[in-house]
Amino acid sequence: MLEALVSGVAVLLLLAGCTLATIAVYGLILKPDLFEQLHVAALLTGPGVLLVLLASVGTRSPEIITSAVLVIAFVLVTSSISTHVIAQAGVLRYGPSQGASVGLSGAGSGPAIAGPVDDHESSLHVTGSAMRVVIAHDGSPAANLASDLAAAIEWPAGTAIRLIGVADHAPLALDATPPLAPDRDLPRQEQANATDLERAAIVLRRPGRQVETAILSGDPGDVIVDETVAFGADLLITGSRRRGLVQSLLGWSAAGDIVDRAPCPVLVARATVLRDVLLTTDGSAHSEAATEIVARWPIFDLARIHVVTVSPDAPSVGRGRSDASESWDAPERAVDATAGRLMDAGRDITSAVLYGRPGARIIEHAHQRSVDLIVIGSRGRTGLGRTLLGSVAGEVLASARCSVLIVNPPLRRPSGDPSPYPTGQ
Amino acid sequence: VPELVVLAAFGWSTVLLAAGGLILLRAQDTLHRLVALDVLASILIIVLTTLSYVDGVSYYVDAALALALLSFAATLVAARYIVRRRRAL
Repeated sequence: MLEALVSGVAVLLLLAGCTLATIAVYGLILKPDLFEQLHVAALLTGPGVLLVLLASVGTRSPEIITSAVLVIAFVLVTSSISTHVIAQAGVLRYGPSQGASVGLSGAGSGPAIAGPVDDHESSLHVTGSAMRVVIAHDGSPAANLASDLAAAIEWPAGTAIRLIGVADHAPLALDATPPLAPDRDLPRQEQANATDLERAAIVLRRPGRQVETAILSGDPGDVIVDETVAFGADLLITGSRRRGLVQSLLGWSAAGDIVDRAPCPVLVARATVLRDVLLTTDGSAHSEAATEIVARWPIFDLARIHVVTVSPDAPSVGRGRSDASESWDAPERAVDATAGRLMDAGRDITSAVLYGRPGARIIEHAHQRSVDLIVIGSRGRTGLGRTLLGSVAGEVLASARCSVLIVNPPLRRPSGDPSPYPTGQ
Repeated sequence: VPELVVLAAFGWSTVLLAAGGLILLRAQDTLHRLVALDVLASILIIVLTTLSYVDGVSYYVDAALALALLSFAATLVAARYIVRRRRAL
């Protein structure tokens, strides 16, 4: 009697477990969205597994039941943590509002919205009229410089500016209850931050310009980059805090990290004007992108542009040996092409070819001419290579005294990537 | 427990395992792959458990425990790596 009952229950449990597993697998095949996938997968990783393990009572074997109880205890703890950790990674990666707008982020909306994000071209021509700008602001004097510079720039009409502050507590993936993306209900600590932001926003507000503020929490680098992506920004402006001893020992400041990862050009503000601009070029694709930006962006309409290229080919060994060969006039041609493009765009330009070590020469030249801004294309995102070899852009960013605009190469994404970044609205 | 039901559950979970493999192959990016792997590990736990019911021995459930442990650690590490992918270098 009892035996029959137990085995009947076991059969039911087993079938229920298998049914849940089937539903979950079917849902996973059906749903492309990460958060929806997590939702259905939890049916399997939690209850599905638990039910099948509970069916072990039907075997009436103490060994199997003991082992199964162990697994049950373990799964009870771990399945929820796994799901939580993946969801957290998803929020940091795709932006916070995707989870809230699951209904909207079906298969169809993905590519259309992701378009302006991964297509660098579009971010260039969209900016003919209005721009979308993110300013990372942490309330420090350096960040005030960023917003002051933004206030001094004549943005084209209709420009949308989003000031973001980041509450400085890094989320730990292992922490079971980390603050995820925007916590709009953290009152005390962020209050000071909010007033700083509001003060900066007041300076920026003009008729025909949309200025909004937001305080987010999480790791500053991640949050700022993700917000830039989500806003579909054409430009990210950030201050540059001089790094203290401890910070430089511990590693990069947020700024360097952001510059490496941002999907758009990054303006690191160290001055509040953009009158004299030094554009560096080397004829490569990434400096091409920098040239395009200087040629097209209305904020450079009134600037005096000085185009330079640095050739390492005149080495300290053979300064006089430069026989006028092709290798010698390659830099000349790079400068001429860039200057021509800028002149076509109606820019006020001068140009020069420098010889020596690129980073050092650019900085030296910038200081001699006391320019306000250095524009430099970055090879960017080369991970280990960058860490080991450094880059000219990184060197310029680290040691220039003026503002630096780093133009990153377009962010490469697998074409099938459905990640539907929410637009800024 | 009727032998037939246990065998059917074992067979069906094996089919699900294949479907899980399909999900893994279809995943578009790392995070989707991570979900798929998590699910795959869970299905494998089910397969091992039902297998132990079929054979009436507990070793397979122990193996499932080890698998659960490893897959949990792997998920944590992988998710953490994705969150800090740049700094991990």
